[in-house]
Amino acid sequence: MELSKLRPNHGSQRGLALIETMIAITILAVGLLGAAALLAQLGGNSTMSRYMSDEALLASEKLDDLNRYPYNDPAIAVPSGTTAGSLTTDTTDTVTANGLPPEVVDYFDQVRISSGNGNMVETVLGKDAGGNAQYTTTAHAPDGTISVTKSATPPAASSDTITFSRRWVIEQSPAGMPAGVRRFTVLVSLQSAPVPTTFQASMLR
Amino acid sequence: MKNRSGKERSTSHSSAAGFSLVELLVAMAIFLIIGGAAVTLVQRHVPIFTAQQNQTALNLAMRNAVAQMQIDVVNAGTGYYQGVNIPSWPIGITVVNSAPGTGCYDSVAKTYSSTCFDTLNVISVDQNTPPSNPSDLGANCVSTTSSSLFITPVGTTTLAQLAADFHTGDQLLLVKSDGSQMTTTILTGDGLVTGGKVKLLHNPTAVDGTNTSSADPLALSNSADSNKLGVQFCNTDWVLKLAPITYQVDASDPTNPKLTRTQGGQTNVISEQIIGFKVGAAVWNGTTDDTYSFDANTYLHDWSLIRSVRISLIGRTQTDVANNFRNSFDGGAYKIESVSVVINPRNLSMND
Repeated sequence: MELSKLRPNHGSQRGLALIETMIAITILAVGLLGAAALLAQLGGNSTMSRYMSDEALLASEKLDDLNRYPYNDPAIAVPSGTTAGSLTTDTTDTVTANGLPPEVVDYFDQVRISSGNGNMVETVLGKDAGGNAQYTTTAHAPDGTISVTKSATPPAASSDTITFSRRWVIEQSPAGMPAGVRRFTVLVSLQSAPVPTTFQASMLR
Repeated sequence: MKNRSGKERSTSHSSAAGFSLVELLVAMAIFLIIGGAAVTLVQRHVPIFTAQQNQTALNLAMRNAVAQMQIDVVNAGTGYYQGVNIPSWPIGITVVNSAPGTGCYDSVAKTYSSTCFDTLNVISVDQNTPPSNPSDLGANCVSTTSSSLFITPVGTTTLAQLAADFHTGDQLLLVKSDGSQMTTTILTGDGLVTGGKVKLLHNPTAVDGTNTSSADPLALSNSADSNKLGVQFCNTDWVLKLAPITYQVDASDPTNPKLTRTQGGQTNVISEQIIGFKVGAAVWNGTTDDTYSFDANTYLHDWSLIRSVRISLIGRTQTDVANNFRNSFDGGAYKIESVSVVINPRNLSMND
């Protein structure tokens, strides 16, 4: 009798008290949320690494693209000062270099990649001979056909289109380097990304 | 009874310090339900995890393939003997573009034949074979339209050493000392020392310097570019043994096309499950760079004009029909990855 008096909530022993249940559910919820957050983070990381992998390729591609110009070409010349181009803003300059006619040079471009409409599509923003924006689109189909088209406006985006922007800077005789050396640095960043990712690479010439 | 009931109560009371059987059962049931749910949740991630691993593997394979091609292409045209400085080196890369739209692709079975893919040849000279001068018996010049030609060694190389470097099946490049003309042929016999020269038996070229596709597997000579071809080579010109690298797709198993790299007769698989391999070239037209052309006819197979190449490579993961995933590229039950890179063959003067 004394013992039963000590435990007046004797009847509730057959189940759990509301407070106990709530505590248990809270703990469980916190644990599950933690696990879910971990999985979400894993997914985010793999997306980020995928984009960074793309950016690394695009950076090395741009470096190789710049490297195909002859040393005196306005596209890679540093006519005045020590640098041409910028990594922070889209830069366009009219370059007169090495006795060649003036040339409008962009130090940025955009690359759009998608796998929509049954093609692997890559669109690169550049300039035509008249200095107008020109989108060059390469579409690679499963049957091996590949087409290169140019347009003044970007082709319609599909749901999986991602747009990378590239900016580059060319430094003439950077500090610590022998005279005459040019350093090309390309910064690739992902626009409209769930996870902001950037990648930067340099090359000496 | 009271005692017993008192005992019972005391028994149940003493167990109230821990759990009653019902409590334990309820707790276990809840644990089972929640645990089961948790396991199901994790199980759902197993295929995702596998898919991620496959995609990572694909990414690695594609990057490896591209890295290998970058290394080879930037070194195109190298390897010719020190001191033999041929201005305007005529050739570094040749591309065999497949004719598009030939029904090489089965959109239902997702199988491929070799005509879907291009071939990229990276031309370099065998570093173990010294260059030699052509010189016919009793004459300064040789004509490649006959089935034999004579060469003389340069420097300290002996006739026997030179002859030992040439074997049946070797591909030769004959090039003018100023790089203006060239032709190519394949040897039909080993090198022979005769009359103070080395005699080489070969497939004769046509009078315009072209050769049959079997005697020119690298597609070096093309009648569309006949101004670069010649058949007369004299004792200041060069005979070079080629050590080309060829990238092509082996589609002998249509369900698993493989990107292969062939050098010195040895073929290695670079990457499996390659479903797209196209090579475009940007040529210098005198004022501006044209866009990358994936049809060599547009630049008349004039390899000396190639400034850089764009390689478009598409690979896929293993087919997983059980998975609901279908890609938006060709609708296959696999993930795909495309890599498109520009590579600049740095070592070529390329008529700059």
